[in-house]
Amino acid sequence: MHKSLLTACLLLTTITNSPAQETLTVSGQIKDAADGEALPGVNVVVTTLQVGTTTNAYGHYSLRLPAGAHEISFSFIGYESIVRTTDPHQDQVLNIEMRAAVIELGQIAVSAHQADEHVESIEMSAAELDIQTVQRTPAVLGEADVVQTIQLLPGVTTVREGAAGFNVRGGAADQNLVLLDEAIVYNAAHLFGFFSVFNADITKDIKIYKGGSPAQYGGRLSSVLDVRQKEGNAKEFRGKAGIGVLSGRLLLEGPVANGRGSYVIAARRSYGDIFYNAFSSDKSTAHFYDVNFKGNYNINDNNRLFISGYRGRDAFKVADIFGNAWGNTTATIRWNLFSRRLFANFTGVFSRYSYDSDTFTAGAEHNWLSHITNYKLKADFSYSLSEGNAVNFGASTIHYNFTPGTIKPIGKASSVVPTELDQQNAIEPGAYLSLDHQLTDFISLQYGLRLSAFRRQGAQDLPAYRDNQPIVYNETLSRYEAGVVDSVISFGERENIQSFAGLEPRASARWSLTEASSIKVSYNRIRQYIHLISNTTASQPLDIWRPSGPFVEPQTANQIAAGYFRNLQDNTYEASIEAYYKKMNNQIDYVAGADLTVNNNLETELLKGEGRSYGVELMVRKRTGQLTGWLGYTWSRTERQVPGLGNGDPGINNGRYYPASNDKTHDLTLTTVYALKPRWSLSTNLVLATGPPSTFPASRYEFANFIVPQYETRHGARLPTYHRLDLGLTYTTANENSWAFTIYNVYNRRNSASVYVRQNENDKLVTEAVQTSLFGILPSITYNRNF
Amino acid sequence: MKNILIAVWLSVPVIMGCERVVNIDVEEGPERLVVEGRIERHQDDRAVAQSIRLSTTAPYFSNEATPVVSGAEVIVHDDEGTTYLFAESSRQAGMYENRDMRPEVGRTYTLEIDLEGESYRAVETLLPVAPIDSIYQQFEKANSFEDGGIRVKIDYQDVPGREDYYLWEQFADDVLQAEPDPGNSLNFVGSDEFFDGEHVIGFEPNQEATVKSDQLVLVRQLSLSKEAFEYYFLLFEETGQDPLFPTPASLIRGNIENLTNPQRYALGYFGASEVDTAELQIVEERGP
Repeated sequence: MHKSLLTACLLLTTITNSPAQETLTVSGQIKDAADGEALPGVNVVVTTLQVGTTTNAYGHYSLRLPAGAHEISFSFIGYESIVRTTDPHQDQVLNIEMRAAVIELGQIAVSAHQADEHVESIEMSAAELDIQTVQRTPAVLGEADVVQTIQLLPGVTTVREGAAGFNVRGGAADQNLVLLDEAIVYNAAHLFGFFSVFNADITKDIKIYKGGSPAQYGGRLSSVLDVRQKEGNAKEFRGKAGIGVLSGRLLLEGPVANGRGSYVIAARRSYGDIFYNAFSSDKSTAHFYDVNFKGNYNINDNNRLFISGYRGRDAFKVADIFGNAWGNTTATIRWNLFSRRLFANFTGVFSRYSYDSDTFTAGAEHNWLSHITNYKLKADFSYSLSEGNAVNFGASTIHYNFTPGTIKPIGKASSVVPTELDQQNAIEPGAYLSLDHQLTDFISLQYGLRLSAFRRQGAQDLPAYRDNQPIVYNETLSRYEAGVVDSVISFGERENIQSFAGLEPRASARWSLTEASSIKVSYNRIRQYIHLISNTTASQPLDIWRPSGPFVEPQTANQIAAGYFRNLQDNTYEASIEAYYKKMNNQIDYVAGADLTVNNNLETELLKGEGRSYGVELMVRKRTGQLTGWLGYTWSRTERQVPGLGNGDPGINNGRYYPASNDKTHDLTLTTVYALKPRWSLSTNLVLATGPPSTFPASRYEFANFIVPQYETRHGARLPTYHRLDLGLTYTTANENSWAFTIYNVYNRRNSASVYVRQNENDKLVTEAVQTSLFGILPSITYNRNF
Repeated sequence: MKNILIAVWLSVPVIMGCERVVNIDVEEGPERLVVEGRIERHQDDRAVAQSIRLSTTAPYFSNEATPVVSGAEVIVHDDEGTTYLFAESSRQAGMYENRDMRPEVGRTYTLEIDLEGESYRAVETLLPVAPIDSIYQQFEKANSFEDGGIRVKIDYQDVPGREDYYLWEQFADDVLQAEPDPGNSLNFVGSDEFFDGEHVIGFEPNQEATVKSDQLVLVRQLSLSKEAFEYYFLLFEETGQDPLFPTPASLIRGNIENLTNPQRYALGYFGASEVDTAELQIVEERGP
């Protein structure tokens, strides 16, 4: 692996030294003329040389060109193109404001992006969504939802409605790096997984990497979901308010310091509990809210400062029985430094997910508080070398504190003894170097290396198990048991408990076949050091994350992907077919009946396994015109193998590969928006997917007055096929206010959220299988108003 | 965990959850021996018949009592070498009884079963249990979770410095009150992990059940080993699935070994408990 680092350095030297003649730099920022928002992904092309670049996530670009006057074209779908000629003799800063194109009535302008980006970009296994698409996609209760929308993309699924998070290419829900303005979001769900924490009003764009993720990202095996918030209108004060069946929303934005900066603040709250309280006398509530903030200030042309923050809570209280609240808090401060050839981004991030519950069981009243908190420092640099070539490098470090549970009695009558579960601490440093390398006119490469490390540190007392085995197999009883603790080792404050480090090579290549078609391949390796401990597919507010350490090794994934990308009819249709194979090592599985919440020694309940996922994803997308949307189809297999401890023990399913809980053989989605006539648009979703694996009993027996199901094989059966159709109708007034009517699950399909077995309530000798469905037909209405 | 359903209900003013009984195809697993037995010692030293029930598994949807096992040779011996023969009851097939045993706290008991050429064994130590200090009734108003009605409560003093595991059984007019419920695993069994040495007041041995006036209620408080506690926890979890958020189906393995053929493991549990009981005659009571 050190060889590849060396090769990278050599290549870097070659690229840097290649221009023999004098070169000049053209750089700048591109913004929307209407509100001053930075525009990422704008195509910047030197027409005279046929080379170019695109603006980065902050709207910045930089080009190295041979001396001489060049014509540069700035183009972006949905915006009027601009052409400028450069100064032939010196470096130049060209800041551009682009105007949104006048849209013909009946046409929908979506997807501000470069027309041929699909085939030209080196990126594969990635998809970006603009927020308009999210807002026009019919969703549960009309609540525009980022996570529900990305699940319509091929390769992105959820185990079932209401399940925790999402699954990318067979990955578990904790294998997604979810970023909100670069802050890690540990739990992206509101209301037990039915809605996500991203308020669409303040969301600017969303990008998901299913594979081939650039070297700057690390820490999660299966995907990066990068959600960016708007910067706020730098030209004038604006507001937006909306009300739907579920929640009410308000957004305010405007300039500060004469347009040198801007701010945006948004809030959202569900209000169902208000109705409930009007009709009920008990002091119960259940609601969620989000507050988002972002501000930026241009210190000068070369320096820009951002701050952004998020706080969301779900609260749930039932009379005098219990109350709990949970949610994420994040804060980001970022400094962008632009110079002619260098773009630098320094970021400091705070993230926390906490869960706080009060239980008022008589005699056992107590409060439970658990959280995961991190501080992250990060520096990213991008340096343009010559036409089409750039080097990206950076470093980061994350400091984690995991507090799984602090339990305190409430009131004098409580007999609960104050208890503190062991806290864990860790540091995760990382560094990367990556090159964008245009090898020939047809071949582009992006290759790099990430070095990640993890240091688990004290203070903590850890058990030392006999023969170093935290879990053992009892052959006579055919079951797994906790290992024997021989002694306890105390680690002091910041003392190294165990450290891990590893290299993560990343590489992508694009070979242009024609102007409208290309072939892309990619490989990446990713390491993940923290693990969400959950043995249920349901979304639970009490999330227990565990760091790698003496008993839990880092997870690793290696993924290769290859695809054919083709645009049709002058970039009107983007089509792609991708195949991937992903191998995941050191996956965690649990022995039967593991107690995961109140457990300092979770390692006694864990088995190590492997996962593999492979599949083919097909997507046809249309971004402009009267009809927009996409058709996605995925054929895939996701399997797990848990061989056990390796001394004749059965593991799970006797160590054979078996379908993972998120395995769906076929997954078809059709998502469209059709401009019916001026001001009216009709949107539809059609989803059809194989039912996920399930475990059904093999027999029954009687014990303790209950009929007990006996299970022999895990995931030996499947739930029924999932399908549904959603419709949405949006009317937009002349003032850009809108009415949206949606019907989720139009034909009222009773999809299975789960199937479980039970004894009949009246005759316990009769056992039955019960299917739970969540959403039947669900109409809703939403009104949005701008001011 | 009905709470979750209610949370959804409260936040979203529409009905979403929906349950219906469906037909599913199930595999047919191997027939396995099921052992349900517990050596009990009462705190008041009263002599009781000890019994062990043997049955087998049956197809999941057989919808009748599972077959009992007759003709097995069942003995229990203690760590002093005394052997007790359990003879099959003439009144109830599959039930093996012994009336001479006087179990003691701290003794270890070994069950041995010979059945159709296979030998099974289980070992359990009888641990002490804290006594029930008092038993009383209290009227609870209806709330979002529960119907209003009379509930039975007990107080007990946990023994400090000792790891204790409890099992509670509540009978109303001799009928065990045990309905499948997601809360059972956190109610019928408990550990003193967060209550060590505390005087526990107002504990409800069955949080789901209400009782009626004139009923005679019997509460049994039993000691469990850690292993037995884990067994019952899982058993109550599996039999009381939450409709919206079911726990993954998992195999519940008890402490019965098949010495002849470990692959053909038996199910169930052979336990040993100290028991304290308390009775309460329920009187008329209405809410305020």
